[in-house]
Amino acid sequence: MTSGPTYDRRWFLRRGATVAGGLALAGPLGTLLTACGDDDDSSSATTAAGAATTTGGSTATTAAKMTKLAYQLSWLPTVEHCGTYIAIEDGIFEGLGLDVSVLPGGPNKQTVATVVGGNALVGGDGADNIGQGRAQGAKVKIIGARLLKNPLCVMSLASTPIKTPADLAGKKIGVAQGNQTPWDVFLKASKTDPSNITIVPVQFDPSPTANGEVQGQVVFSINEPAQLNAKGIDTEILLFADYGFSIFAGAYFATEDTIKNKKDELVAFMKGERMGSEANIADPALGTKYTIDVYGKDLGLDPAQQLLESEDLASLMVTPATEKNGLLFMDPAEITKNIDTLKLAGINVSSADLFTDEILSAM
Amino acid sequence: MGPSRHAGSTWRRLAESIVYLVASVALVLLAWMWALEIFDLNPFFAKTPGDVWRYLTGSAGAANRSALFSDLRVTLGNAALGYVAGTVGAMVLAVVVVLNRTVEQAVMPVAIALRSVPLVAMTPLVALVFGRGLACVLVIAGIVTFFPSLVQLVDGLRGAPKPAFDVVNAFGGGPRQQLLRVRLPYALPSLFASARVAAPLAIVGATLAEWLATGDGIGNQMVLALARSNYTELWASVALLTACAVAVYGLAASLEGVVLRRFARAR
Repeated sequence: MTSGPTYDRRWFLRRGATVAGGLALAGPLGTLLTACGDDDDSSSATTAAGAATTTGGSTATTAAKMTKLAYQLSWLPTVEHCGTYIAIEDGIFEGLGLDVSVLPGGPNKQTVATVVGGNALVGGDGADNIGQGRAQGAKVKIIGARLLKNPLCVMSLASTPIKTPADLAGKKIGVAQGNQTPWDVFLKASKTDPSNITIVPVQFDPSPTANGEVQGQVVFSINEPAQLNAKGIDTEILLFADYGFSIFAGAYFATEDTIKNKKDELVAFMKGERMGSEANIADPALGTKYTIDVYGKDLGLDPAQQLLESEDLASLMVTPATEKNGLLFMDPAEITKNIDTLKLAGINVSSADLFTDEILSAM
Repeated sequence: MGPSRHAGSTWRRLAESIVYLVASVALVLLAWMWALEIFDLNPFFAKTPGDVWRYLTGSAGAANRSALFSDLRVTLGNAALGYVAGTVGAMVLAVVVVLNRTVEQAVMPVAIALRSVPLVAMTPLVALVFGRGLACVLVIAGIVTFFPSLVQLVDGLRGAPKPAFDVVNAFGGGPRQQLLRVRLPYALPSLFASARVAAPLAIVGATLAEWLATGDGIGNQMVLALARSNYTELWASVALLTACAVAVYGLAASLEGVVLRRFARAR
């Protein structure tokens, strides 16, 4: 028994009306979706990379001799990485024969896998994540460190403050997956019992703390607290570094193969990074400008907050040892502390396996 | 059709399903090994079926297995609840849509449009509204299963043959009797046809909600494995989830076969 559909005039009229309605809806919706698309990470990647390429190739005659180098950032392109932006935009890398492009990181970005997989020559990350990767078999080494003092902290609202590790008990804490290893290490280093702390995944914005979804969130002390402050929300921080967490926060790493076979490129890159960072310490507004106008353009950053963070960067980068040996220098005593902290968390790597001064000493 | 022949064909179908299951597992394993070979990926993150096998059965195998399976149980529970929630919702709406043309024209375009909003983008919003607990998982896994089921069920409820309605009419039954005695039985094959698509999707929805909102289950554990550069655990989780999805698909397909033979419309 077949009863196929019958198409009559009324059917077509009805369908016609539905299609027309759908189109009417799709018009504004399409605009809306395009507008949303402008905000996402991938387009900021193209903007930043595009900008980098344009600048690098601006002088057609030198472009031919430029060596292309991709650098995987540890996090979103905020002012934290402004030394790199300055070195690209002000021709520092160009003078060193490099055409550097930056790949933005983020809360779910695996920097070690990107470098090991060959999609970036140099990566940036915390020594904890790099050490974890090394312990899991990635043949990578840290060649220098930018943020020597670690700004990782638990941020809470000033009205419901979390001031010590003991205050964490019974709380719900937001941890971005990219910060999971530092969090594991912090719990071990501070001898905090994780069993009565509830962990929920968060992304990169501090709103879960602001709207009470979580009572605390793992963030950079120089970044998110100021973001909330700018909106009139007071915060309290519990700094990891105050509880035995001695880990370089912003370290540069490359594969053993690169260190051996492309040493000159790495030396040139690290020189550029040092000069870019020095330029920003001399004038913190410079890095803020490139962050707001070019690299972090799509992140909706607050210029005033980014300037504050830019000014704070020096406090994490400059130590007595770097005053003597130059920025990015890694003090052997500090390297030992890094290795010891990782050991507490069950990440067993030797300092010879994880660190090398080969690049810095050749600068 | 005698009862013994009927039982025999059920067994035959079951045997067929098992053969298909084994074949698809073999196909997935082959594709896995070839892909690693062809793309020449770094062994730091590209793990082979052999690596996963050693992870599950080697010296630390027992501990690894119990950790993975306890997370998997959470996820499958979430997926099952989400599937039920989504399907019940779809069934209720499908009945309303079939009984009332105005509702159909108001609801269906919106339902389809809503489906095209990427869930990854929607999940944080759902988490904000429904909290970071079971409700959020139910909504996400429910939404994933709701739409394929809705479209299929509306078609199924509509597809009942006209003479069957005439019989109900002749015996004095109204729209409600038509629904209960004709439309719903005839829609059963659609329910199982949509289950083939919707049930594996419910697993995807559950893992997504676990990753972005609740922080439990294998969905969250996979991202943690990634964050800790534990790629063998990650591959093992993916392999387990794939096996579950294939198994759920196979189960739905066999049930569909059984139901089809009972309720298939005469054509």
